[in-house]
Amino acid sequence: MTNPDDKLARLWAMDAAPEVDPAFEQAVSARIGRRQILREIGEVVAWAAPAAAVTWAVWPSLAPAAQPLLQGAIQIGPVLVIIASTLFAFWSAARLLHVPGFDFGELEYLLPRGRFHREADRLR
Amino acid sequence: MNLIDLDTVLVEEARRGSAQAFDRLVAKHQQAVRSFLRRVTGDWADADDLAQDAFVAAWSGLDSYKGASSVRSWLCAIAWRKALSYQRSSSRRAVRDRAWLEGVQTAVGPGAEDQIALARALEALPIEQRAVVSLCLAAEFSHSEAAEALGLPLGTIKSHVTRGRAKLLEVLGDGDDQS
Repeated sequence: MTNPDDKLARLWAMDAAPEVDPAFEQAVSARIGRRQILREIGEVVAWAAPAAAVTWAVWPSLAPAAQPLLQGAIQIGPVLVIIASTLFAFWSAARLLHVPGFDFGELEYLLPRGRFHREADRLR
Repeated sequence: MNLIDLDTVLVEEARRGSAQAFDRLVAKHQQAVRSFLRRVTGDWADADDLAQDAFVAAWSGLDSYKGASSVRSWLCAIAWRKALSYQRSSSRRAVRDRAWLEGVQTAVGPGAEDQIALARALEALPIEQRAVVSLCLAAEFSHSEAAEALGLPLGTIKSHVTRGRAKLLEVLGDGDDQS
């Protein structure tokens, strides 16, 4: 007769996760990578947005003094903004591409998990 | 260097930003965390999702590890909180129950009958008792380690172990053998 504890031990072993699972480890690593990037992007936005707001607020009082200096810059201002935004977008995309196992199909995982992910998992 | 010391060193290195150190922690403890969640949730796919969430939460909260318990207990404590919130979410639970039933119905192979019986027996236990049984009987956690991981008093852990084991053996047809 089998010892009941031996039987339980045998059954526990059957539903245990594998001891080594590189796919799982990579999935965790990828999720952490994405989280880290979001954090970095958040940090950039966190200082850039208030800086822009302050500049916007104080601009009327600075404008008269800065007018002579900015005569040329006013014309290239929009171009500078476009260049800066493009660089920021490239930097974000480059960081995302360096996450292990990342592909653009996984962008959905930047959203909180919910019905959408479940449906996507089901369709895969 | 024993295992707990190595874990503490890895946590320290991960806190300083070493991704490799955290990867090693994941590699070392993924089996314990995933097995625990599989037994608590009854659904392997959801358990793996929750385990990933737990490791991401552990990475975000590395500073919260004070070294008072083992890293394994700390990770299982995070996994336990994830499992509880999963349990509270009724819609996810409904999906899980359906998936679990499908899993039960399609289990095949040697020992499948016993495996189904074990899954049913675990499902019948209250979630706390299931968690205690999963840690103490299946993963060989000490009672105090399980108490730390689940945030339960030691006496509760001991009583859950005794009652949970008795119920499992009863369902598995060995109820007469247990003392």
